[in-house]
Amino acid sequence: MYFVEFCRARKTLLIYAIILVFAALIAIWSIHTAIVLHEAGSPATDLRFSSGNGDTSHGRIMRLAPHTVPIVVPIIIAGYMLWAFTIALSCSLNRERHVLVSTFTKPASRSRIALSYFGVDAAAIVLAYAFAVLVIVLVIGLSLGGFQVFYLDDVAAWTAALAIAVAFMWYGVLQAVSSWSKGGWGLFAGLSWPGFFILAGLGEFTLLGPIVHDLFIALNVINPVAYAPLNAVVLGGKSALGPSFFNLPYEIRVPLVLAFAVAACAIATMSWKRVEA
Amino acid sequence: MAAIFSVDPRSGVPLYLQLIEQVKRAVALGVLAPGEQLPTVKALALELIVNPNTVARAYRELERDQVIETSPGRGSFIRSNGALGESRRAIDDVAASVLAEAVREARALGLGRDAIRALFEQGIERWFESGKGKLS
Amino acid sequence: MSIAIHNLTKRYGAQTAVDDLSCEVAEGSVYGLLGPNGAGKSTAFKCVLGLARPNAGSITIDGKPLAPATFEFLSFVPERPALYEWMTVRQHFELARRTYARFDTARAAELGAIFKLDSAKRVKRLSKGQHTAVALALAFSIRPRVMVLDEPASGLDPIFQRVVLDLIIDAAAGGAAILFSSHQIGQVERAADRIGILNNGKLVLEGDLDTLKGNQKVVEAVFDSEALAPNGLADDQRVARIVLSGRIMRVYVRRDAGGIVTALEALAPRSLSVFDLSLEDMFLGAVDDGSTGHGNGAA
Repeated sequence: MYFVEFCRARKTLLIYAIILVFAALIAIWSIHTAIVLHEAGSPATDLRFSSGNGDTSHGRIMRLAPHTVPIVVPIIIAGYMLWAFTIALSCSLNRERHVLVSTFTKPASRSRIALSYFGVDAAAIVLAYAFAVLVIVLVIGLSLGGFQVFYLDDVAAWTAALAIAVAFMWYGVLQAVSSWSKGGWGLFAGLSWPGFFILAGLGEFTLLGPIVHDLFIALNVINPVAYAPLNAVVLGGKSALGPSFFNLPYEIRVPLVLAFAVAACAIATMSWKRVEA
Repeated sequence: MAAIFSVDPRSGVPLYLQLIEQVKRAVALGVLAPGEQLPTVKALALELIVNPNTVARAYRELERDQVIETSPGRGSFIRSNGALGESRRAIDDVAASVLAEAVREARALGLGRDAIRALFEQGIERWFESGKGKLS
Repeated sequence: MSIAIHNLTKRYGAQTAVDDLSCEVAEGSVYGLLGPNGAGKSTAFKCVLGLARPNAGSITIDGKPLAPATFEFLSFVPERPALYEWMTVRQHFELARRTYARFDTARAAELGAIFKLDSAKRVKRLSKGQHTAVALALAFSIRPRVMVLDEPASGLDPIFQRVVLDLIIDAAAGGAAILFSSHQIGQVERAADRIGILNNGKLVLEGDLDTLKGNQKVVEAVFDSEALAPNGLADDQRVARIVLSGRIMRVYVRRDAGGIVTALEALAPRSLSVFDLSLEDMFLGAVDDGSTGHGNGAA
């Protein structure tokens, strides 16, 4: 029964891969241009992606040093791209609502069908993530002229695990929400992701006032962005964005998020079992 | 084979009865000979585009009326003896009821005995006139 | 394998979509379910297939309640096509091949040719009739022993409608139990050996089609003066309804037309005739007087 989702995932992965490669080419070109424009520089500023107080903004230049580019950063970015991908795959059963009369009259129990869909999507998410990391590493490596800048440490590995876990969690939440109601909700849940991202950015600029800030903190409980490691790295562990989750060590956070994902998918499965087509 | 049978599913007459009459008619008129094989239930159902159980019911009744006999594995055949007699009798019944119906209808239209007899004679003249050939 | 529905009741909120429906489809039998739009046919099918939960009653297939394994032998073709728009026809057949143990690849190819399907085309590019054709081809390819078809010929041209009839008759001759609904009375009259007429969720007429045709008649009596129904005739169990129109009385009879004729002879009518009823006549009569099935047509 996984065949349908397999076809769909394959199709989506292909589109995603094409977009990524395209974006990578643009990135390579722009980084190369940046390097050419800013030749001499003092040795070592770490590659920094931040929004917020001080240093760099999007247009400014990354002063690149030959080493010390931790692989953490590409992983984080890949994590974000991954969320975009899960939106595309999300609500798989819900998007099939008009076909449920056919899906649920097959010689497989509804839970088995739901689980097979989730399984294929999980595999696709991991694949998409790996591909995104690969592309980013390639982009930066090719621009810097060498891959020796990259090193893999504990933090990097945990970050990767957390990014994938958060993607699973978000996927699970979408499935659970969309399985409960017809149509609209799933789409709303999916589109809320970019909304949160924007709010996260807004929340950083306290120029916009404490109101947005407070609103954001309130909404943060269901904001997967808040669980991302980005803030911990860039903002030095403090965050306007998140609850105390950040202070938990990776060893606890990752399984916790995964457990959340599993629970969400279980809720979705139970609700699919009860739905009347 | 099925081309010799024609049934009308839209009619108010049950299909299996129509089919029974069609078979008996064919036997009575010599279109189906004693010993001749009939199509299987499935084949006839598909040819006539009717439900197989309907055909099966017709075959069962024909067997009960001793017009056909069915041997498992071999098929259904017109009985060598007795089929003609039974069919002839059945067709005579049909003819009788058709004529009776015609009389009833004519009476309902207001005609009297003599008028009806006269029309009857006209009809016989018309259809039995020499040189007109066989009835269709 | 057979289908048995016992006292099925399904409510949606305050509305009762199916009310105490009971019927059986034996092996090799074709059951035609008729009814006006909204009568509850689709709802009944959904309950049979486990897509909706009944409020009361039970459904068994081959004597057992519905289970995922049952669908190895059961094909369902819904009223509105349930195909994946973004997949091609070939992918649908591939999906069926992987899903069903009894899928017959040769048969599938045959049916694809009969319905003139283009394997490479995406479903969203197919016409409505072609959607139906794909769904039917898939349904018959798995060599089902039970079929539930909701308006199987909708959108099909007359040639393909014939094809569908052939497929149904062929499957029934092979022993499959088929439950189908259709607005095309002509189709039902050919393919079905049993019929049921559903109106407002209730089964108002049910039975073997040939027997019903044999029993259900109209006895027409023409009188010399204003026709008056004899006392008690309307309450007679054998009488469905009486229509009076000037000097003509028409008695719609459920069975024993001969007995009714005898009863009317006592009134000395000018003429007395018995007419047959086609399925269409029976249908219009059954849904028109909205009876609650004051006895069934002696099946």
